[in-house]
This record gives sequence, structure tokens and C-alpha cells, in this order.
Amino acid sequence: MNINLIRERYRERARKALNKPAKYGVDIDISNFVGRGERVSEVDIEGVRERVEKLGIDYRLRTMKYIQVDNYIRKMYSKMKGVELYSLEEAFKERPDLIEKYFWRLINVDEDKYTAAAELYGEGGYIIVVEDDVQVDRPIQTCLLLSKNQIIQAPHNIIIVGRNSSLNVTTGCTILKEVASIHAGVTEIYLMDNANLTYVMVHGWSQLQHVRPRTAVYLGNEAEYIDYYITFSPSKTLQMNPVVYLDGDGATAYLSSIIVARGMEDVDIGGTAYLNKRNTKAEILSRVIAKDGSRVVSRSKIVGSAEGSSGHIECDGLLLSNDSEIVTIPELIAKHNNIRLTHEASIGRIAEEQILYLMSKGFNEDEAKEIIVRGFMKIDIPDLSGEMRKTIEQAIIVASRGL
Amino acid sequence: MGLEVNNLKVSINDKTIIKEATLKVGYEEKILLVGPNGSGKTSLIQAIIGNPRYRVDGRILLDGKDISNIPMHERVLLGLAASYQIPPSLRGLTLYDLAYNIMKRFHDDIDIIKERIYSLASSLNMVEFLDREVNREFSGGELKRSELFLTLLLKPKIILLDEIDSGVDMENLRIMAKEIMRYYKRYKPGILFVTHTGGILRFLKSDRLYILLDGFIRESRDAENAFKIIMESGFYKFT
Repeated sequence: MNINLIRERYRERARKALNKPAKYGVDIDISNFVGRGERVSEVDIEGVRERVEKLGIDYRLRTMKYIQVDNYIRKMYSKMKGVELYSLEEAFKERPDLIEKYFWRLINVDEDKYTAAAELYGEGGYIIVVEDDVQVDRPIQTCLLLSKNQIIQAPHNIIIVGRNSSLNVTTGCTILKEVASIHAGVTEIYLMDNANLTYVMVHGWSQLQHVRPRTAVYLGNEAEYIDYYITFSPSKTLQMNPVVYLDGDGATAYLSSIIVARGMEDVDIGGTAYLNKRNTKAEILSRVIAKDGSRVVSRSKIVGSAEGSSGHIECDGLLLSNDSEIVTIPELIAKHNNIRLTHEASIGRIAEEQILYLMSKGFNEDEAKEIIVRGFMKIDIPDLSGEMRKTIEQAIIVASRGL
Repeated sequence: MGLEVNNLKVSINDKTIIKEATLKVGYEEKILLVGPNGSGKTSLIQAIIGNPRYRVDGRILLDGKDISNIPMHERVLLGLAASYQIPPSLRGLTLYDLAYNIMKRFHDDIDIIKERIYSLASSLNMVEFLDREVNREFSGGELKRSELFLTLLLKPKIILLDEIDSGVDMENLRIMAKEIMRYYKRYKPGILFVTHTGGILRFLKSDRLYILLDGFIRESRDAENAFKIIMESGFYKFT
């Protein structure tokens, strides 16, 4: 089918969904946010590096980089063999085969107003294709920044990791200036047989920001997906619920999120995993810290329908003030009797005994709290590579400051 | 000089645990503190180190300076340290990271810090615990070794060891005593041992002994003999 015709069909569906609220989270009137903003001046662009490094991300030259400010791609290069990088726009011209096969295949374009807006108003986005049998050890870096008010930033990204290949991606999303805009964006990830991807997202926003990313992942046989989402400076509202489809035997997925909610932030975050094939395994792990007047809903859902599969949900919350609120909603659905699904949840405050213990080792109260909070945020995943582990540890150090 | 505690009254939740305690721990002294269960030995240690749960009247002096009103962590930085009898576990924090954060106070060089941590951990048979979360799923004896390890890293001038010998097997007790003596010879601190069993006495000699009984403290200058009498005839032999 003609590629432009395909796109027109998606756009038609999107137009009908422009007023459709998301299933969860605060509903936003997006009609105030349409428009792409003006091109950022070269002076403003100077701040990108500083902003990204504030997230704890090492900005030094990487083998591959993608940087988008508002709705303009500022930098895009790949120096790696076996890895192709296209902007979405380029892919429409040069690789219609990829578009036909992978564009809007895991996420419905009319899922809600944010997916619809991404299709109709979103600009930018990349397609990364890792060929079969390629191991990319050095992390590739993508950064999305916002500098203009009242716009929607909604790139459409697609990552395809070929058979027996591996890839590490670090994504930093932040503001270049204090603005009130929407960061949405669609990411569709395809992991072929025995492929693996570690995907670390670090987010730091302004108090006026609305954040609505949409992510879905397909996993083939024995594929492995590790996902870390870390957010720590307050947005106004944040809602996301990445979905992983374990569609190959023996596939494994870890969805981890570390959420620090401050100010009057409203967060609705979760993860969903479908254990569709035999011996698949999913873990959804979250650590939520709520402070000030923030409210966080942490929802996780695992649906098991194939023999020998297992799923585990772990949501832990730490309340650092009386006016904040944490809600955890774990959901387990089993459709086969040879499936093991478990969950554990806890919400509490910092134990005074632990603070006193650390003070008896010479730490002042603030240092003691910081050490405890940092420990709470740690989620250990055995398969994490050294460099990605370092990125996460660095982000946690930044996130635990001043709590 | 060293630690001086004068007429200390210790209460918790309006209940007086210690009516009047006066004691001294001078440098190069090894002193025992004994007393029946519930007599308030741990409360006394915690009060001296500055645990804010305890209300304290009287004076606590370190090298002549009144420290009774300064916060716990500052007392520690001045050179006073106390081990916990039952320390809490800390999630997500490895023993190495905690040790590292302590050592950062004394050294800038990461290699030196690392070397010191490994060397002490190795002497105390703790190397394999460095990557474990602090006190999490440690056995009774392991908790004691971990406490001694962290306490010695603090480089204290005055050390209060709260039942460091309870529940520890002979081999590990010997290892711990050896390390305490090595520290003692090198830094010449004052050490107060709270002990029930006197286990540690098998491996080191003590100079004096305090008995905490019914809220008061008594002193014996012949520690070895006094402890023997207590073991044979009980604490009230001394009333």
C-alpha cells in the first residue's frame, strides 16, 4: 500500500480521538497547546549540555546521539557499524518498508488524545535499526528538551533490535527554560529473537509541565528488555503506563521506575506486561517517594496466559510529608494454572531507628535521611551492564538531593 | 581526661531507668560494665552517645568539654563512639558504601579509603559482607563483627562496646579481641565493654569494673576477681 495513504488513514483515526481522555491521570485540554514553537536560537542551545548533565547523564561524545529541542532535531548522528539511524521524516522517504512494518503497530493511534496529537502535531522522532548479531556496548544517547510555552512535543520513535543483538539507550528529557508545555511522544520497541535492550530514561521537568509518554515493547523468543524510568524534579502532571508484550518463548522484561514527586505534582505511573508465550517472565518494580502536596498512583498489571510463565510486582512507597499521598494498585491476572504471579507492596515513612543508627555513625540528620532514601530507591537488576548501572546510580544521587 | 560521666540520671518516656551514674573512662583503660538484664546498661550507653530518645540530667564530659547538650553525630565526630547491641538493617545500602561514607571524613584518596576498608574487613573476617546490605540477614555474630568494624572505622578516642561478645563463637571472639587490641595499642583509646558473659575477658584483660544495679553504679578496682564473684554468686554480692 502507498505509504502516504497509510499515514492518511492513521491521521483520520487520530482526528476522531483528539478529545479522548487517557484511561488514567489528570485530563488536559490540549487545544491550548497546539503549535510547534519557533526554532531555538543558537544562544539558547548552549544550555543543552548543562541541562542534560544536571540529570546526572554524561553528555560527552557518544557513538550515537539524537537531540531534539521542542519540535526541531538539533543533532543526529550515528558512527556505529550495524546500526542505522533515520529521522522519522527520512524513513518515510527512504525506508517505507520500516514504516509499513513498525509504525503504529504496538500502540493504537487513537488510544487517547496524546497518541492522536503525536500523529497530528508531533514532529521529530527517530528510527534506530540494529542489524542481526550486533552488540552495541556503548550506550547511545537521546535527549529531548523543551524551551517554548504552550506547545506539544511529541516525537514518534521506533527502535528495532535484530536477532542476537544488544543495545543500550540512555534518554534524558528536560527543560531548557521554565515553560508550560506538554511532553508526549510515542516509542515503539521491537526486540527480535534473543535480542536485548536496556533503556534508561531520566526525566527532570518544571512545575508547569505535563508529561504523557506512550511506550510499548514487543519481545520475541528469549528476548530481554530492561527499562528504568527515573523522574525527580516536579512536573505538574505525569501519566504513563508502558506496555510490554512477551510474545516469544522465554522472553524476559523488567520494568522499573523510581519516582520522586514534589511540589503539587500529580503522578499516575504504571506498567503492564502480557505473558503471552511459554516460560516468559516479567517483573514490575517501583519505588515511589512523595513529598509536599504531591499525589502518586502506582499501578502495575501482569496478565499471564501461557504455561510456565511468571510475574512479580513490587511497589514500595515512602512518604516524606503528611500532605502527600501514595496509592498502589497491583493487578495480577492468571489464565493458566501453571503460572506463578506474585506481588508485594509497602508504604511507609523513614524509620527513626535507622536515622538514629546512622547518626551514631557520625552522620547528621539530613545526611542520614539522604543515605536511607538513596538505599530505598535502589532497584537491583542482575543483568544490568556496568555503564548503565553507573548512569542509574548517578541519577539516583541527583534525585535524592535535598529531600 | 577521656570520658567523664557525673551524676547522670537517664529517663525514657518519663520512666527513670538510671537514678545516678558516675563513671570515668580514661585513655588506655579497658573497663567492664556489667549488670543484670534490664538494669539499664544499653540505656546508659545510648544516653552517653546522645540518643535523643533518652532524657538526661547530669553531665557528660569528653576531654573536659561538656557534651551533654550536643547532638549525637557531633559527639561521634569529637571521638566518642558506641556500637549497637541490635543494629537495624539498612536496605539498598551496602556495608562497603556505608564504610566508604564514613572514611570520606578522614581521607580524600579513594585508593587509601578502599585499602583501609578492605584491610579492616579482612582482619574481622568481613570481606564477603562488604557487598551485602548493612545488617540485612546477618547472623547474631555477624552483626557484632559488623558493628565492631564500623565502630573502629570511626577512629574513636573513647569506645563504648555494647555486648560485642554476646552470641559470638570462640573463633570470632578471638578475631575481634585481637583487632580491638591492635587498635588499642595503636591509638590508645579508652574502652568500655558492656558484657553479660564476660566472653571477651578470655582474650583481653580489663582494668576496672562497674556494676549497674537498681539504677546506681558501683565500682570495683579488681575487675577480674569481681567478675568471677559475680559469675559465681550473682550481682547482689556487691550491694
